[in-house]
Amino acid sequence: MFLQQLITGISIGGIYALLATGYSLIYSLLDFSNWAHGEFAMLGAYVAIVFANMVGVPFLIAAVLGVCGAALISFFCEKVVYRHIRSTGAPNMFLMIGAMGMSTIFQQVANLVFTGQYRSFKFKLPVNTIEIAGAYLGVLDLISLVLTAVILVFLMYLINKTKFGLNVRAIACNAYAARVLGVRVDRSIASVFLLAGSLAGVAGILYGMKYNVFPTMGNIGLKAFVASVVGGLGSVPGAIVGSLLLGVLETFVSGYVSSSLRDFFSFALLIVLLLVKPSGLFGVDVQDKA
Amino acid sequence: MAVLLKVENLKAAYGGIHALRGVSLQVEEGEIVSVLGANGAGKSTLLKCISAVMKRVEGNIEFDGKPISNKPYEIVEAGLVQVPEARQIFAKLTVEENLRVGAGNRKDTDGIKKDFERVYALFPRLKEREKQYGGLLSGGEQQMLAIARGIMAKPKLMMFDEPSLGLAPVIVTQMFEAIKELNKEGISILLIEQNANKALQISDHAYIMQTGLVVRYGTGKELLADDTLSAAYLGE
Repeated sequence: MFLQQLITGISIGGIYALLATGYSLIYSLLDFSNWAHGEFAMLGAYVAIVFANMVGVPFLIAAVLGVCGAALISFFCEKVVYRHIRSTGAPNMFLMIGAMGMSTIFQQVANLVFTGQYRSFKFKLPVNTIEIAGAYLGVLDLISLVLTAVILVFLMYLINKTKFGLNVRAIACNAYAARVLGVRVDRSIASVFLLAGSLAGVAGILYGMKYNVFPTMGNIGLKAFVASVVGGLGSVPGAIVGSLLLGVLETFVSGYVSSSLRDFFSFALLIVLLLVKPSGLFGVDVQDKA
Repeated sequence: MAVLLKVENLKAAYGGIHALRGVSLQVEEGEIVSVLGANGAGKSTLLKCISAVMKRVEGNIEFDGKPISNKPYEIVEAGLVQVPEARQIFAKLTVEENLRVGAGNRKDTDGIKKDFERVYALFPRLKEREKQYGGLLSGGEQQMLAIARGIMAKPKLMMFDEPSLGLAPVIVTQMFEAIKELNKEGISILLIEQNANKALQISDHAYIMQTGLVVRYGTGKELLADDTLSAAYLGE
């Protein structure tokens, strides 16, 4: 039972991590919380649903298209909205408000186009379980967990070992200095939105496979946000650790206490952490976290 | 000598406030040129316009015989790099990573390797602290890193924005020595300074700015000999 819960918790935490790392990356570059980020996950899941269920392409292709869709929508938000808000020299609060606006718009559009109906992939999901050491582990959970782990390792590699990552980290430290040294700042930012959007797309599809796809499913973005604050906003490893912690906590609360108290505990963790260590587990500086 | 950087009638403004009201200057190949003036004279704005991180209202800038690009990275690629005010090193990147960002627009792997050796020879402290975070360096070491980071871009012209600001006098002297050394190695220098004396001592030519205009021009020697200068223009 314990092992089962743990694996489920880690696999849910992994889905949060796919979103939380995106929050953290964008926050580290632009100092604002991209509230539309959860909606990228929702839209990616819908793109995959459209291709898988309505067009009828094989599930894997639909999933890839869904990920691309989420990446493009994220990229589009940066190109069309955030970049222009930045170029006016407006305070970062405006970016956050812009993001909130887009979040609502995306939800409403999804509601209009797809209705509020809960949809599931027609693709036959692996609902079976396998028995390991007396515990019954969901195959879907295991697939989700492995896929997430591979993606996150790749993400850490990108950030720490490549020139793209070096530029991103330089911009996060000091965008002005990066710019005068010849870093193509706007291009790096746009690439990060593509990357964060595609991770959100994966998260949305995994979440949609496990539960359902519906217009307000982007609200898991809020959980991912909590996880990235717990881990230390702006820190990618922090976002991953915070997500796993939150996923496991939620699963254990649901399993051993009550599933209706799940969110109570998640947000209590957030509040306690903000009181005790406001910079988060991996946080480096405490600043405006609007 | 060929003119490397030519600025003509440059005007720039913050909102409605005119920070530059028609500045012209030039840097010839191999020269050290200083721009001096009190706070608010428009010196930093001048550098920002040349680096294209700020839009100019009017005027022409030519670098290496061609109109300068309006994209900062193309300016760096063309061989003009800025060492920004207050150093602005990347605090959470190691010394080595800071230098690699500086070399980011270059493709010549061998040349980059050689320049790593070159800056480590110029500033042995940086070699010792290669794997440390930039933010952990002392003020003087950070200034060395900021200069070294600029050198990594393989510039023809380096622009320094107040490099002596906030540094101990001993370090300031070392820094001016380093700038002279770079110039000997063939890099032309445009130096923005409030420390007029030190700057004039190493300058071939100097411009004095006041409220967005160039008010004096001369060789370093001429301006050094002029006693009225500091009282009139430099706010000393």
